[in-house]
Amino acid sequence: MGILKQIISFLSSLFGSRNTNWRVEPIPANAYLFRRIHFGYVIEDKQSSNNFRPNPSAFKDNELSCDWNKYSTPQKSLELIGKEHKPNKKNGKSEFKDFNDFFIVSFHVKQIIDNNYQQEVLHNPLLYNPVQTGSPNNRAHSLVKGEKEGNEAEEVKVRFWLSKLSKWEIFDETRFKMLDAKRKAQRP
Amino acid sequence: MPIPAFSIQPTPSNLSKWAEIYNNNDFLEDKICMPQPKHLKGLEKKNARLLHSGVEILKKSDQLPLRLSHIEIAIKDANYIVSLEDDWDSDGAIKIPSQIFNRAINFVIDYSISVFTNYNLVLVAPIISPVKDGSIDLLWETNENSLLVNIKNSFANDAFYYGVLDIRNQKNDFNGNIKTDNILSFFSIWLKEYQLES
Repeated sequence: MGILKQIISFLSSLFGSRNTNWRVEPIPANAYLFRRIHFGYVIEDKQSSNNFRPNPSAFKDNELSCDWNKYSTPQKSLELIGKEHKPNKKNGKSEFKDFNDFFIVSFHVKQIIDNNYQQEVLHNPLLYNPVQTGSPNNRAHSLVKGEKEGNEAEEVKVRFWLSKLSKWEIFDETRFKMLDAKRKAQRP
Repeated sequence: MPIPAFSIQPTPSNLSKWAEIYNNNDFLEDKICMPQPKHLKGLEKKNARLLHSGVEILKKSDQLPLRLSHIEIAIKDANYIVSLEDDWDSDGAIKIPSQIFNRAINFVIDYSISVFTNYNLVLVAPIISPVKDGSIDLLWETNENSLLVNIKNSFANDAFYYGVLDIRNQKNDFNGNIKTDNILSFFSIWLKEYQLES
């Protein structure tokens, strides 16, 4: 049964996208965006009842990739990570990312617009035809874009507030502590 | 003898154990807290370099007064950063250059000592974090205030900062850029707001 499901899923990913028209849509202010957070970007939070929060360094990208809640859920966003290749090949071979290394946060588009962070929120669906292994199609894919180059002080401010405004959708404290301890044990 | 993993930081109290591990009397006689590359027979050069940078940091952090020992602990906790390889976030992050890490640590030490010496105030320990472009973030936080400093990954000694004096009021904030090679009095005055609660 499991194999049959995988075959159906594979075939639908292969043929389903061919006739799909994923036009770019405006993202309304009441939408939410999901953002993946690698465990290396989690810190203790002294200012809220949460024990941990994403580090401002988790939002260091001129074009911050997110998933729009109209076409995704936190769980879907997390699962998609495991279908992506890491950007760097190891011994000439592509490797898939491990979604167990990541958690998911959300933030409200309205908060980004209202606070005048000079950031745009743009729908940016990813549709590959033919399907590419390691680069999954993603209708929910969206970008938070802003003038960050040449305006570093402002960029530091935006990163700080994205860190404060985001809320955990998927976070496992036990798993984080285990991953963090493993990483820190590798210190020189 | 196989070289052990560097999970144990050598200290004056465990020097003899370290000397035993390396079977090297010079190391013990030098009475230093971290073996220098010359002591590490058979060790690959890369690790020797990492240890060498560790020597500099440890010597500098030795200057910290006892009341700032929490800052020394935060620095030691951040030592893993220099061992991160490219793609450490599975998303293309670059390795943190050791000189940028040292620059960030020196910044923390210099300002912690400056505020302590000039104002008799003890700062909270910052959270020291790697950033995917090879820079370092330093985040000082109390219950109400936050100050984020980004030590740029560049030849110039540049850092950019953003601070907020009331986390519930975004308008009560400040930002700008500073050089990291001098202690600037105006920045020390900002940092006074990030005291350790007694």
